[in-house]
Amino acid sequence: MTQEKLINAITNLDSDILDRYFIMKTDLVKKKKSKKHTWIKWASLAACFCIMFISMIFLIPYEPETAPNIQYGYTKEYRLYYKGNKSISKYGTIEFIDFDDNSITLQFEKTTSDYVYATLRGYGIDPSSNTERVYFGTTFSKLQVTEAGIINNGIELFVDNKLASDFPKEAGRYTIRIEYGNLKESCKQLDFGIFISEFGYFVINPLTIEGINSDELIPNSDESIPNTNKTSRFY
Amino acid sequence: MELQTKANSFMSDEKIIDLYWQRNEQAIKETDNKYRKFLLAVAMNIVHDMCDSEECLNDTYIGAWNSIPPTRPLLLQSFLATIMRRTAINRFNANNRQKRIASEFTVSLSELEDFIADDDDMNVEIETRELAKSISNFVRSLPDRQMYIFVSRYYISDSIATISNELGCSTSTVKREITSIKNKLKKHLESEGYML
Repeated sequence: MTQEKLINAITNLDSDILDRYFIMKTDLVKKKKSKKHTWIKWASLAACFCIMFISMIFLIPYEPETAPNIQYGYTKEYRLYYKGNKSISKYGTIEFIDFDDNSITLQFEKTTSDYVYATLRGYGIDPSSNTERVYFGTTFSKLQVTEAGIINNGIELFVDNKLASDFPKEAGRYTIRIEYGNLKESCKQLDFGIFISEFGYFVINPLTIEGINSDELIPNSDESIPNTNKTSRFY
Repeated sequence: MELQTKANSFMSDEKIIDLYWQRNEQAIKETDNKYRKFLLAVAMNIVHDMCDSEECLNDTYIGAWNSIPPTRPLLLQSFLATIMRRTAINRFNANNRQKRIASEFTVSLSELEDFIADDDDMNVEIETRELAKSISNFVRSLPDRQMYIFVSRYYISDSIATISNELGCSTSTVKREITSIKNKLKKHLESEGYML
């Protein structure tokens, strides 16, 4: 069989085969086109997700790592009151706003005219005796605990951004900032939280509660507020 | 080779065929708009020369003009491809003949062919038709994909790269398929009594 014969035979292929071929060709072109569109669709979707993801990184406010460590509740073992965001007592409500290495800021909704004070404990070496002592920074001026430790002016109280010697007596809404930088300087280590009478402890040193299982913390509520006599280890 | 993709901007095959039937010369213009690129690609695959391809294209249009009516093709593209392939192969053969024996001898031989080849031509024509029938039956029995590859490669004379691109597979896959088709065709033709 010659090559020419074969070529001529192929040239004379039945028209139904060619029709089938061209129909298939048209389908292939259509499929290819739609495949291209699918690719564009998926690429657009992926691009949208990328933009959303990047936007989220920039838009979601950064929360310092220390904040989530502040647990809300108290441990049965120590009867210590770990305060996170809010503490409610018969004298009102104290809400946590912010804290840093040297201060804590709280919103105080005072409902009575009862006396409230704050105390922070630290541990350090007494230079006069060269022995380890407990230091107290407190707003409670009448406190007499000389045997227990050293009382100094390690903490400063600011009520509505004004330096104050005591918590406000009258009922009202106040922004309280307690600075403890001085106490920190004179002590080797600060206690885990600042104590506010009738409201418990507000954690300022989250490292101290590391290792405490958060499941063991009893959530704070009106009913679960522990008796302040039990919560205090100092008084 | 690419199919016309702006299908919507072209006249439908039915309307073009109607124009042929009305003996309206606009038919050739519309055919040219729609299928020029495709037909030139078919011609180029065979004759490998742009001037020859253009001439083949004109011959194809004349062929279509002369065939419609009475013919009313189902698929105009397929119909035009057939005319173009025949025209281009004739052109290719003519070019080759001239290259092989470019002398007065060529003319004298062709003059002799005119009256001595009648009987042979008849036999060759019948044999070719029978062979075409056999190959058509074989191609019809192939799966769609292999049929597509066969027609692309041996009828349209597309390159392997073009076929693989159209099918969305690698060139080696197409080569493998072609080998398989060739083996099957050989067996088929041998079973029909053709000596290869």
